Amino acid sequence: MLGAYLRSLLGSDPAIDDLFQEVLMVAWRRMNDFDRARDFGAWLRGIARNLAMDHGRRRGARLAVERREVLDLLDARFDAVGARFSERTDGIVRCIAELPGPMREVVEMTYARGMMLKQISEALQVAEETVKKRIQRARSALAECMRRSGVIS
Amino acid sequence: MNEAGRGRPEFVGPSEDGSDQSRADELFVHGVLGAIHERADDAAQRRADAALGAVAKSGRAVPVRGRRLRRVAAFCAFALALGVGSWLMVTPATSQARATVLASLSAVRGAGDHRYEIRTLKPGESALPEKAEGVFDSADGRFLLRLHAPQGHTVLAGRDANGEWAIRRQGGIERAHAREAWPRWATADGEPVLADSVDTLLETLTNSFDLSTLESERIGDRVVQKIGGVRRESSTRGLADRVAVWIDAETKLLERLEMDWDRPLPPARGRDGAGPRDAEGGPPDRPDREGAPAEEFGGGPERGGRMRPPPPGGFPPPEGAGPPPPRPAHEPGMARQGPVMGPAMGPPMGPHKGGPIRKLVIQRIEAPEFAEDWFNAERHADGAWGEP
Repeated sequence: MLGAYLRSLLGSDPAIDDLFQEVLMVAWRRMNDFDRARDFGAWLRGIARNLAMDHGRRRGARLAVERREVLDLLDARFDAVGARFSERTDGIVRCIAELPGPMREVVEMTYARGMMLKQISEALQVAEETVKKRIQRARSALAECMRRSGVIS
Repeated sequence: MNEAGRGRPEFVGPSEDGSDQSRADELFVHGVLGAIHERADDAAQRRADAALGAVAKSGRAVPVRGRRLRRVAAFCAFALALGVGSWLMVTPATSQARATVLASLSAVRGAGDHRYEIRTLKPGESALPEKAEGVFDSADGRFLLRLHAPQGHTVLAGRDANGEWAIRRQGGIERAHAREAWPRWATADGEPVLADSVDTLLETLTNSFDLSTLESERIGDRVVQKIGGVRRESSTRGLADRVAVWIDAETKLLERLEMDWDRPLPPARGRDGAGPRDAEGGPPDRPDREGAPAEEFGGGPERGGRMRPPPPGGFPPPEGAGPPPPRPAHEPGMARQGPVMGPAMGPPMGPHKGGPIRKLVIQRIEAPEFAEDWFNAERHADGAWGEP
């Protein structure tokens, strides 16, 4: 779940793995500060959030999340799923399967096969802007499906 | 590796037409899709490599050869990093301290603009000056040091794309003997204390001092990790006797560094006319070199005079740096004669002359946006203090 959270914050920034490790190292050093009454995942995400924001400042990179309001809503999503994420992946896969063909196609090409927008555009013979729109609509549709099916509240 | 030969899917930002909630949902789905589609072995290998590297940085790694063995070792390291709570309890404090300093080193070396103010306490002085004596700017491996020399002129030195440089007092750029521009206190026993950059200074800490983790402090909403260090007997004489560094726990950036030259000295010995500190190996006078601009830059203050302890209650905070971290605790085995002592508890002076400075303080402040040519020697050829 930490990896997913970092991806949500940083898009496809190549530093995600470094930050993933950095989060663990910080957590390791600050383990004594962890209040066992709190959710460990939320604590890790708090560290990840700070490190990601600092990474953005230091590198002059734009975070995928540009506004605090969106960041808070994103945190709420991850908090709601929490440690049960792995139990819910079947539901996510079902939602992907239910997507309309053109949306499912771009999701598979982008996330499963790691194709670049240009490659997808050429393969589907549509404009890159069209591919972008399909990806955005597919993600919105997936979020809606996950809500309907109880994957996220 | 995926079909396109990339490690990660290309990122398409959320739709700008949607609400905050829909943007958050899109980003959530992006993260989830990336996580469930990323090939487990690629991700595990990358993270395990990163974990191994991080553990190696903290000085615990055992060199292993062979891909399979390395994977096993990496996996173990990663698992260790995940469930480290109990291990943390028995990890030597000095190793944690070293890891923290190394993390800070990495942060300072990272991209980004950094600015530090420099203040010194010289023999005979009782408090740090309110106005910074120098400013150290760095960005992407380049740096610029500006110092107000005691003689009234400005010392300008730095490193740009063509290497190290210094501005001669009478004008002109010196590159061959650029380090000669540094004041005496910036070197110790011929070794640069500050001559490369703050990152070199941090590296020196891990190599030359026995470091220990002190209590964390909270400054506003930030947590600052405090590290103390005592120079190893085997380390270069002339380096500070004690150091204390404050490192932002989140950003890993060095917030403040204090170096103290206050270790009681052995009885006099050595060359004629030299105090025991000189004989011990303290900072020697800089040898003049033909063509070098050393004396032109004036060096540091003359040595001599007895060191005095700082005032009770510590030194005034530097300007514009926000609330400074509290002063280092006087811990057994660390602060032999620390600056926290009041005048009545002053250090056992002995008949030594004292170092060229009593204390060096480097404090990070917010960096302005540096102009593209800010670190270029040519930009400072007029010898003026200048601003970015």
